[in-house]
Amino acid sequence: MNISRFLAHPLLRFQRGRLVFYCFLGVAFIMGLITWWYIQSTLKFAGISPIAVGAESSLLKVLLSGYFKFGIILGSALLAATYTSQRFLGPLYRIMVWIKTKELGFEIADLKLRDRDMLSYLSRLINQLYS
Amino acid sequence: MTTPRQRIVVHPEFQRSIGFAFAAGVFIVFVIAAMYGIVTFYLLSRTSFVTDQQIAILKSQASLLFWVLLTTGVIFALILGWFGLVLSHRYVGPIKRLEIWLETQLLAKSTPSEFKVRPKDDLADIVQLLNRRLMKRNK
Repeated sequence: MNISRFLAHPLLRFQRGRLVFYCFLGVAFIMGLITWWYIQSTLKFAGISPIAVGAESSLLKVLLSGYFKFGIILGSALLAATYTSQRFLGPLYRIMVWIKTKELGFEIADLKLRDRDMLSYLSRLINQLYS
Repeated sequence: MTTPRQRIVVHPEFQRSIGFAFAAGVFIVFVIAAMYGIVTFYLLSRTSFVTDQQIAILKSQASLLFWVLLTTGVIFALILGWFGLVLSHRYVGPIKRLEIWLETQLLAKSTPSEFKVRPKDDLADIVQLLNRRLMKRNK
């Protein structure tokens, strides 16, 4: 996987990208809730005080804090949604960037997409249009 | 008989890869949640005031949490994998129509007809640029 494409993918730009993000936000929220509930109920059941634990280990204090849990949920949703959206909408975004660059008058190599991206035929037609 | 519009799988290879991408996304969330839970339980069991009995509880709960998250993850992977298939079906249709339209426009030397998509469609920007290019080309 091309890491730079993954990092630069504009997840929230596309309507479907936003939909994918909300889906993964829901999944991450439910999984985060299950994890948080398990940790809290275990601490209670085992009779371990979160305050005492936090006083001994600063790492545990961070891990058990609400902000960190929220960060984990948001971070995992962003990561999963960006990965999925990049596979799904990435080729479309690359076509758009290529056309815009071409419209600005820059001389660039032909638009090329992998056959498995399904848009390879469309990219050939666009190349023909701009040749 | 079902028409291509009614069929969910129109382009099997591409749509399958999208379905797998959605399932892989769920796997990413599962790995992060499981890692978070297991690391927390591990660190809790390493604190000085925890007794052997409490360590045993933490270990059994960590293992239980892993299996609960895995089961939830598999269920979500199946749901979102299916959702990915349906979503990609709505994506494949306009692209196929755009390919046919562009092919016709490139072959025909007559006045181009405009390709229309809904303003909120993901293809809207590309379609706008292509329409403009064709207009310019045929002037």
